[in-house]
Amino acid sequence: MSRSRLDIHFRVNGKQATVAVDGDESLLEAVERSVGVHGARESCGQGVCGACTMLVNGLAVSSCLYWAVLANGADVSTIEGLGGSGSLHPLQEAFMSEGAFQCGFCTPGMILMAHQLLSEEPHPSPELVRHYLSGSICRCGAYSEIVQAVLVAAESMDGVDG
Amino acid sequence: MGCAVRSAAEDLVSQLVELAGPILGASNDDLRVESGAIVARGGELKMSFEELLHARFGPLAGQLVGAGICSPPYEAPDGETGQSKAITPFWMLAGAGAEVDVDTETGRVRVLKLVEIADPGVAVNPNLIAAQLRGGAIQQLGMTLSEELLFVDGQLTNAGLALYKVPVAEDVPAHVETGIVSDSAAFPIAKGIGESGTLATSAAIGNAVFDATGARVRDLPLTPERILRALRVRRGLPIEDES
Repeated sequence: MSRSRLDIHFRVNGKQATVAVDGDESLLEAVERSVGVHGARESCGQGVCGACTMLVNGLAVSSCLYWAVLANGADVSTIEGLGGSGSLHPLQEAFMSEGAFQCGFCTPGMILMAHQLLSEEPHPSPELVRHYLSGSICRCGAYSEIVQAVLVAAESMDGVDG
Repeated sequence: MGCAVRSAAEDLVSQLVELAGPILGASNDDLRVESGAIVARGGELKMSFEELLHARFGPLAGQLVGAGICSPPYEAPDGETGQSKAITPFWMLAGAGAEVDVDTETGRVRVLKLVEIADPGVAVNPNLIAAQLRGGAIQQLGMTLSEELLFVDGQLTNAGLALYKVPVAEDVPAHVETGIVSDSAAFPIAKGIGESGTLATSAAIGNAVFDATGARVRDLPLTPERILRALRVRRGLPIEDES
């Protein structure tokens, strides 16, 4: 049985892209195939680990569960879209300065989730940071450093829109 | 491994010195290594490693290889006591302390504070050691409180992160204190620290639960079910049949 595909049009990290997707295809697969960025990783495939987090119109989603067709017309960001050309976003800088990772597998998801947090609450408490990041698993156990990095980034951004 | 690396580096330095002596026109005693270069006469004469390699191998460059062997002192453990004055220096030594909060109605354990101490030998990068100890402690906290592979008739029944619970930021203490104790003076080595944070964590948490409740639970993980069962046994209360 042949499967019918649909063309979707979306912006990924500011660039317009068009890709033919199956109706049951995930945003993660569509982005990887169309734009070739791999910062978001499929890990659990169940929406509980946070490694595949992307921003869709500024909101963090688990891209392994998010239908690609729902992203038609949307503005999608992955970790590759943060910061300018040749410069890093304050969150990325802070993750480096605070040593907020060991293997780095969870880092893109952590940073994108923290990005949403700081856009909603520029001066979060440590407890709020922990709450927002609790949809992301860090197997290396770098949570202390990760939370610290988000607090440092919040201070360095200090209300400036990142 | 640390002492073999050091011995290999010393071998490399002596090769560089041999190489630099004739070129700089200095005696070997006068030569020393200083931030990526060989210097003589108190810094008056100087050649970078790069210049030395070019002088030795030409513009396409080559490489010098140092070799080192480390033979730490060793004394087999006493058959009676299991003690030795010079056991292999690469064994990891660690200790941990935990402060817990136990909900006696539900059996839920929360770890409020963890302290991890380990012996890294010579601490090459103290910040990284602290991060490794914290990471190891938090991994072991997962193994201690929630992570368990459940098999029924040989089949794994919780193969997935929705059913196999790995701790997230809200499940772990805000800070894990770390410290270093080292006997590096006796035999200077740098050794692996990776798993040291896991060694004593479960025991510390189990002991803290015992200290708090009097319930001694020896099976991991310390799930609410296991804790509640142990608490009820202690109080002489009935336990529902497992089926």
